[in-house]
Amino acid sequence: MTLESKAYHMANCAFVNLSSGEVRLEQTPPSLVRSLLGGRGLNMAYLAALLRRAGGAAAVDPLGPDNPLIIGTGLLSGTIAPNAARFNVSAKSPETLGLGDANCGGFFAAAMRRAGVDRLIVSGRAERPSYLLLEAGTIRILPAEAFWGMGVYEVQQALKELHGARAVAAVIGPAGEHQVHMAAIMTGKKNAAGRCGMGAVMGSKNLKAVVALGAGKLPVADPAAMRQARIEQTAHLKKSKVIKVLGQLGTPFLYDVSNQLGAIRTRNSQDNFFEDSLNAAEFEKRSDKMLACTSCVVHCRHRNTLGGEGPEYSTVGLLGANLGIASAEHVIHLNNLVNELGLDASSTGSIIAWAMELYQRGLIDDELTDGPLLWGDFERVHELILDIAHRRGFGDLLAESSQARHRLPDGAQDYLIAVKDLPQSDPHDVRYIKSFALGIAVASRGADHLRNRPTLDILRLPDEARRAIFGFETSRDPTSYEGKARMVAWHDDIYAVADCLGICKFVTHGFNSPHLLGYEHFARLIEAATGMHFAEGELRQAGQRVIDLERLLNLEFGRTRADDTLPKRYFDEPLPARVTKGHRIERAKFETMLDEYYQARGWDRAGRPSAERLAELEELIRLSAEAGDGGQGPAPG
Amino acid sequence: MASMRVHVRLGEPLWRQVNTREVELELPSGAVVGDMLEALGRRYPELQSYLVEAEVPPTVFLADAMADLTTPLYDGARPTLIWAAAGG
Ligand code: SF4
Repeated sequence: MTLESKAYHMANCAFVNLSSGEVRLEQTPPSLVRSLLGGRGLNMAYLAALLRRAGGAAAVDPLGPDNPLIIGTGLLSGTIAPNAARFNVSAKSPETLGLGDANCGGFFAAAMRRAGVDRLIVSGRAERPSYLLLEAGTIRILPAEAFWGMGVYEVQQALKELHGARAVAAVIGPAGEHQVHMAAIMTGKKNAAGRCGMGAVMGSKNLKAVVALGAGKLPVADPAAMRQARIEQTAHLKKSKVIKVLGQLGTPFLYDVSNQLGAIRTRNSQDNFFEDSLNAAEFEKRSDKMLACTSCVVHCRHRNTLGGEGPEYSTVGLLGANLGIASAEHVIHLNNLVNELGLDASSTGSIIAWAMELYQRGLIDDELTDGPLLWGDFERVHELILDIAHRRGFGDLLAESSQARHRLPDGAQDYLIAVKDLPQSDPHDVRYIKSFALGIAVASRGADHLRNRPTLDILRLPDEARRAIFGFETSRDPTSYEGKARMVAWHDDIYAVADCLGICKFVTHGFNSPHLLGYEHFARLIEAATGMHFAEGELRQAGQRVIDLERLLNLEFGRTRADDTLPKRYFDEPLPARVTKGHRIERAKFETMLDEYYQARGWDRAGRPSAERLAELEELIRLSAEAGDGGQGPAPG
Repeated sequence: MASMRVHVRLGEPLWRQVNTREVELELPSGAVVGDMLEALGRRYPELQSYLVEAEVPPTVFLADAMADLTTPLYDGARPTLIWAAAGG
């Protein structure tokens, strides 16, 4: 079915029902855009509205036709704003049975907007494998039998052959087709909307790919102002040493930092340091180029000589140290494998490490695991990753990710490094830096560092510098619990705004540097792009609104204060070596920090936003529901 | 004046500025970590901007503990100097 759009607009929202074949393009109400900007923020309002309509967040089957799959570009995505490359994918997560959301870079967001669609909301389930073709405001549902079974890069190449070189696709690999709970949606060789199993949701809809045929430039309100802002902000960013180092070395240099500290998750966090053989220099030997996403001024991504891209620091840690694998070449192989299969590297590394520890402790044995499961056994890990992606043998059980705990012996849960059932995203053991610990405990989608990590806390900046950045007092000591709650809340807000705009964290104020792009830079870019003026403080309020909306969604999923917690090991077992030796999270102090965090957010002791805020959010959800209706409403699957 | 020798391990990305991962420094006895950073900057001007810049000040680990500028050094000390970015 084809739908002609009247014109290109900001905030075009397409509704596609794969069961009925209905396709509609609607304008997002301007007041919704003003309140939630785009990307992650708008996704959440639509998610709340559509889950309610489908029977309630807690009741909806994440792999059923009623779960909406929402692909939303940021308000600045695809413009020339620095690093405005990203989009968010949101749905109920099959991995956590809660709020699912994943953020992704590459070239897809820009292509999707240039194809006339800012947000795509897919419901229902296609009768046969299908893909969507977006072009000039038209959306077609096309058969994908010929592509089913293909790997991530393979299918993108096939789609380019069919539709031409300008076709940019977001796809699933075999893992998504088999509805593996940690399946990613991928674009390019490595860019992943990796977290929360969004690839499984796409697979459950029989949807192999969304292909965007973008053309022309995105219209912006004031092209000259946009160009000037780009020039000045790029120059500002290029003065930062962090930006320079990321552009030269990529993220793998962070491995050495965490490892020297004694904070690299090793063998499922039983240990906290590992071999120097995974230092960045080893990966550089096997890298031939640095790559970038749309409009990026950093260029942080390695192209590796084994045919893929990456690995990033997270993958080095989680498919390396966390599995006891010390060969950089092996880690690159595994990195390329998970990417081609369409698996989230973070969850995959965490879940296999969990299984290895259960095996080490005798909680599971050869009968269940189909043979020995030993630390550092590259061949076995390689084979197991293939089995997970194709749901074969023991791999079928691990494909359930955290939900596998229901089919494992009592006590298995104690060794799972996850929060809200989401395996921890990054390789940093958070027992030493208390703000990092609180951050992963309260992050709306589960254990994830990209929601709120106060990376500057590691730096022991002088008091005046900290006050100038945050506007309040915090302890300079990373092991102190004092003032850390407000710091996490501060990061929540600005990272949420970056996600709503489609801007990469690597250029966002507070992420590794206090000299990057903050609210005032963002406001200037928004005004140039859309004509909307945001006065001082208003953008941060938009970020706060998004966090509160996600909290409301989490409450609807049945989450409570008890879910804002940490893996048992982080409370009970002190770190064993190096600078961090002896550190763990003290439960009573953690609870106090949680109280302070709720206070900083304006929530009550149970973690509930104020009545006034809830009323405001209800209005936004109502507006989204109306926009979703379009006079007829996308029929549930 | 009596002196001491310290062996400084340079972590990422600092070692790349001087192309060596370990530097031996001779310092006057009684020297503290701040003196060591100054001596490093004098010997390797290309490292200087990493040692004084406020954007990401260097972090020093000594004997498995985080040191600050006033932490005393001793003969045979093996401090590690890192540039403590963190992220994904
Ligand atoms: S910094 Fe890296 S992840 Fe961010 S936009 Fe640039 S290339 Fe992409």
